[in-house]
Amino acid sequence: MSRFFLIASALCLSAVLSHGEGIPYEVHGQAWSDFGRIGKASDFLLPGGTSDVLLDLNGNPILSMGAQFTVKASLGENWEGAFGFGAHKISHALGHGQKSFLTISMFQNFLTESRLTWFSGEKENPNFSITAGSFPYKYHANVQNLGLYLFRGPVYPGALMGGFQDFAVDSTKSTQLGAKFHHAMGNFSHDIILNSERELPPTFDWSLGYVAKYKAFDALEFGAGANFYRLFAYDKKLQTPGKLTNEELQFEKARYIEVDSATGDTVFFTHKGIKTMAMFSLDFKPLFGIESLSRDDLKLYGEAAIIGVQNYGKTYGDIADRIPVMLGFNLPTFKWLDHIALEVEYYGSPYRNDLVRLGNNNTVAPWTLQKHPIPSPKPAENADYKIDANGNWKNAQGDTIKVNGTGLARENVSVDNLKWSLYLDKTISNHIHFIAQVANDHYRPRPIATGLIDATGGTAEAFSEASNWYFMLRAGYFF
Amino acid sequence: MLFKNTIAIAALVSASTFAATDTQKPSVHGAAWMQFGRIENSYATPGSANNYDENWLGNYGGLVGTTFQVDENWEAGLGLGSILVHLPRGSISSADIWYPFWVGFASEARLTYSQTSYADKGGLQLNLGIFPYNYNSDSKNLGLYLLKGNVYPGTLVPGYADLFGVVQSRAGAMGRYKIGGLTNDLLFVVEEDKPLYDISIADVVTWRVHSSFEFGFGVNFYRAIAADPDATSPGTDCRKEKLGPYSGSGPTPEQDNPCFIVEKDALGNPTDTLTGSLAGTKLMARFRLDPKVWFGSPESMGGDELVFYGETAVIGVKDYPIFYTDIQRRIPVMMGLNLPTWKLFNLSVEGEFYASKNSSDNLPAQNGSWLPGGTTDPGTGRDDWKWSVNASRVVLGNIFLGLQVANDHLRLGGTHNNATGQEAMRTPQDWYWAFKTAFFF
Repeated sequence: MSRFFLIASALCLSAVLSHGEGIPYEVHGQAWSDFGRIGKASDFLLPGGTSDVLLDLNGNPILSMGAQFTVKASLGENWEGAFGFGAHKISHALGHGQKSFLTISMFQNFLTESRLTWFSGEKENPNFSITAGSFPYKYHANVQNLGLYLFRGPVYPGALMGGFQDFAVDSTKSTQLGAKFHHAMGNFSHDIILNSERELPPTFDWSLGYVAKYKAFDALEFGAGANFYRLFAYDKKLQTPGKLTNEELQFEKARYIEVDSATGDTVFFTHKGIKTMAMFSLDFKPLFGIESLSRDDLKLYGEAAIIGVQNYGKTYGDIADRIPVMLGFNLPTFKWLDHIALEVEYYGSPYRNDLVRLGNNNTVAPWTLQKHPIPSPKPAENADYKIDANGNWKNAQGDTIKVNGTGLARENVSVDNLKWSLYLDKTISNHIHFIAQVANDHYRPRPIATGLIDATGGTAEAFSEASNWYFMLRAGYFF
Repeated sequence: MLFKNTIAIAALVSASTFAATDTQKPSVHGAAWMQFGRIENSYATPGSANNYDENWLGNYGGLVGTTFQVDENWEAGLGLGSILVHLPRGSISSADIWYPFWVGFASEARLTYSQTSYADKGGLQLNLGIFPYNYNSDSKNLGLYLLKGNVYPGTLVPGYADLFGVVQSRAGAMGRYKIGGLTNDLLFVVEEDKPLYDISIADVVTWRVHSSFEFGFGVNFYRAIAADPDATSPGTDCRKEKLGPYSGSGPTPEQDNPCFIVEKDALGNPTDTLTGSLAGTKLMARFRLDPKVWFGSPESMGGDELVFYGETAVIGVKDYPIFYTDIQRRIPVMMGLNLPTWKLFNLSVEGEFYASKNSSDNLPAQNGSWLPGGTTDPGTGRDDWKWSVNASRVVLGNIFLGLQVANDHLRLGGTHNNATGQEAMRTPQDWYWAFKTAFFF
């Protein structure tokens, strides 16, 4: 990594020196204020078993605000550098009772971009370019919320990511750290992305992705891609922890393997895996010669992916459970709005969409393997619950628990399969942007302030039934 | 740490931005500062780790901001900054558990709509987002009661600048209507003290009767719209465990719960349970008198010299038994005077009287208790008076130098693992000084 950045720095310095003084640059910025509220969230996670400590998100307000600057500098005839930073306010999930007083609000810093690009052809639409550093990458421009599966989220477990104005749907915020090779030829374009995992443990593995797109008749765009997720491991022991000894793991490695009772074969789970993706966008306006609508009106778009092409034991035994599909349609706005986008998604995974199994003990790489890195049908902190003779999940004290979308409510493992999002936005005076969104999506409230990040917030989705929803409003500006 | 002047730099930056901005062209401004000082005397409860005597204070920071005139009606502003702060060192036993940390912040992130010709003729202006707001620009430290601090308990906090000397911004919305010398501000403020996200509704009127005299008044329906009514107004089912961990055990041994008041008969038997709320109503009145105008505003004096100003407020119009029985003890009064220096520098003195006999500790309130905290103050009544002396000068056009000596409402938050909301200055002998240097562009 350090060598990579040294090279990038040297390239940048040489580009600057060769160009001389008076580098032309542009300053861009954004600022925004968000307000929203959770309308309904069905799950009460009961970490302590009493009414005072449950995480009840119903009616919780969600407030945030943020701002960012980005400077783009022309470093030479074919060179561009960009860097920027921002801060946005984040808060722990409120819940109710004492938990709400443990909430901490703070500004979190982030880099909008930190990249160096060499390009051939037009800067805005190059026929070939190489980018190194931290950069945004959004391969499906129509997506407002759901989708973008190829570079969002892990493979095993196949958790989906997103939420209101997730960084991945904002083309001004970096989501990739590494390199991008872009080539375009007429209506065909393709990208190779080398990305360092910087968010999900085990961190610093390298993934290699490829996306190809073709646009036909000015109306139809389709594409496909693959992501060899964690192809190069920072530490192979962390990538397949079942091969470690119990002493190295400090607990039973049975959490990372599955033994077939019939054959005795052992399956070693791994974080490494392959995603594939297909996408399309169909614009009905040119097909019907309609010119009176907004630019993106009447577009139908969709995306599907396989989150892990390889089956593993019973836990990952059915590939159909690992195929999310989303469809979106931009309803006609008659130029009153920029978009009214309705998106729906189906994902048949029988597991709760929870990242807690990835392990987290408030340490950085090499990441401490604290809990199950591979999902089981139960949230990790409810491991003491077992199915009784009546099919109910009970612990030794006789407490019962039900968490939809998991094995703790076996009859309801599919109630979180359907997601939806209705997105509206309007830009006025070219720089002021208003957004409204109502959705049941992959929003993860930040953890309640109990110390470690766990499934009581931050790692698990807030919404576990089709009837769950929240709304968000944003007012902001950009230049 | 607390110069209001200090962060007036940010306001200066903001103001200059307003004047210089061209349509469609963002203007970039910034400020950076270094602040240090020392607590010379601070009362400490014997044995307390939070002994601030002779503790050094310091913080360093910078911010970058832009203002962007979108068109003739719309304007937007954003500002980002970071500040290096640290926990106070406290007593010798705590001094080795000390660490600094950088804190990022957004000084503003606002959208502003103004009617055409608003700057010249007044009219309507709307603000949305995070925006700086100050209804009493004369106040350097004391005052500004209407929008800062709790109502029940009526704890006071420093004025325009917060603890770290950064401009105090408000999140929410504000509509301003200006006609002639009359300005009316209607604010919807999202509370960022716990319990979070309650909305307060306030209205502030300012009337400039004459170039020599201005007065204003306002009302704040604090936490009028509760995000979680159970947290803002705990009921009779409230238990201490339901509030935050620093809600305390109640104001006195006789009232050993932070949720409600238990009335008792002469024998000490409970007769009634009275619930209350963090929500309440504040009233404010203020004035500004510039006698220079009567003498032709001599050019040898700066624009703010000889200005006499003051502010008073009612911190909660409603009485509650035992702790909030006397409205006169909920009325702080401050006066300030900008002394004549003949443009050498700015010099002001401010004094305040506040006869509350409740503890200054606002930590229980931030954990859901509307009752005053238990007190370890050396004696009631001894901290009724506060004072502050401020001196400042801008040199070379962009460099700010400032000094503050005060006995005010400084709160340091306590040392490591010893959180407290109590004021650091609790007796008349207590005082500190702080120096600030900054540049802005």
